[in-house]
Amino acid sequence: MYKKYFILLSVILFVLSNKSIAETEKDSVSKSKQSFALGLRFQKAGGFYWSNGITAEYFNKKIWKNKMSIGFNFVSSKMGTALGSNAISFFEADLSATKYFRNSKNLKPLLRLNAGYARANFGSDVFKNIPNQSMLLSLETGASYEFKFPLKIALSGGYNFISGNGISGLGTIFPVYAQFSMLLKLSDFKK
Amino acid sequence: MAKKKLSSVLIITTLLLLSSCKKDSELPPIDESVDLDGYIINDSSLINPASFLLSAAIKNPTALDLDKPVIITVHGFTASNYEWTEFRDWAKSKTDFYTSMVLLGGHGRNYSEFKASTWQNWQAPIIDEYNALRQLGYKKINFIASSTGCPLVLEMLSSDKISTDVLKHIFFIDPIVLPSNKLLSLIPAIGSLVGYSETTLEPGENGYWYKYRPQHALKELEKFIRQERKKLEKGIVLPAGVTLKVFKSERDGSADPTSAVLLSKGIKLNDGTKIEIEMINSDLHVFTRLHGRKTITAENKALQLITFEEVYKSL
Repeated sequence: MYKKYFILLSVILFVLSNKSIAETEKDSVSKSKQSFALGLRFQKAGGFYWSNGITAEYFNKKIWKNKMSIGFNFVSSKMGTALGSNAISFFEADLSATKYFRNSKNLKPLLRLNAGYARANFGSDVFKNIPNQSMLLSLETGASYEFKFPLKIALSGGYNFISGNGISGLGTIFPVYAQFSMLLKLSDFKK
Repeated sequence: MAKKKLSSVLIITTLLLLSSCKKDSELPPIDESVDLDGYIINDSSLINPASFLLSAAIKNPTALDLDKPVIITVHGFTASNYEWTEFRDWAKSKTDFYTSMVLLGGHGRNYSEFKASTWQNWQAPIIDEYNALRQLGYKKINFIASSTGCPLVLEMLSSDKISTDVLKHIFFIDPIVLPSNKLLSLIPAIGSLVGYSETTLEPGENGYWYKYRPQHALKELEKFIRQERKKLEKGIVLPAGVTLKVFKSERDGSADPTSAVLLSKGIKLNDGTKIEIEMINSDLHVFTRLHGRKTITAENKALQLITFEEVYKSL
């Protein structure tokens, strides 16, 4: 299963990197001092559920030199595997800081640190002694690609430093996950 | 130049990783005089099945025998019949039901046979014994399963592998469909780097559980319980006339207690009602097995006996 993800990621990165190498710098660099992007995030835990939701990202050239952004992610299994099934419903909400590399190119490798909170609904008082919430801390690495029109996609793999065993932590948090996000640049500010 | 350096680093790292991998054919340091993983110590049922399997013990049951309920015991991953010997011994004080102890395929033998086995091999003897008892004419057959034995029994039902006309009650003790150690989910990707993993057994457990878990067996376990989770997501309806009760330790360190949530959400009785779940105030995995444990409290013993009694009264 992981091999399929790896091959897919490799092919996408190869195609995009070849394309981006051929491009000139003037095509790729955003001149904006600030920007805000909003989009969808599709997340799959290795061996567990799909959790989908929204993602938002804010850039500020002055503070982070446009190489870094802060963001917010909210995903829920209710919009993934638990949609119309018996899967456990839970959500994960986190704040993220993303560092981009090769900033002058459209294809940018990225490193992202997420910290947040997760909560599950077990649906019965019988399970009241099983932990149903947890803090989240994860590191992601991957790449993003900016199109000429105001769309950005990002594909990355992440590792949850806090995974749950159902005794001291929420059992629905698995260590490895992959995510794909599509963000629309809503505004550029040149202040 | 920088690219060349990077390539060299990648090649060296890959070579180092490959050289650090345990060869798949590499055998763990099995102590033949102590470990079940060796060739000398085996589960006793392999030598004397009549002391464990009812179908082997009573080849020609009487009408009176056939009227008595039978409980088939099913142990968990890496375990052996030892996991249910206390229940069998307790049941000897009762004269109105029988027990039949099934040894999972690939278990209770040796490391190589365990390594070569699949989850279907583990499950096969459960089906065989149920069919043998049904064939002999037993009218009330029940299951009590622990840990991985639970999804093996459940899979049998959800895949229509047995005729359930004489199946009555099922009891799950600390079932696993979600592992406590979530690193198990990485086994398909990193299994070949692992080779095998070693479990620390208490002295009293030596010779009754496999100490070494080959990556093949871990992959098989991961694949099997992932598949069962998917079935639970879609929903499983038990056959008509069959009941299921789940007992789950609240602080089970091997099978994530959240497994009980998945079973509760994913299984319905034939009339559409929920299955019964009882969360147990215990930190033991398979709290009904106390033999071989270093420390046994009065509370542990009380929970075990209460559960045995409840199972018996449900028959």
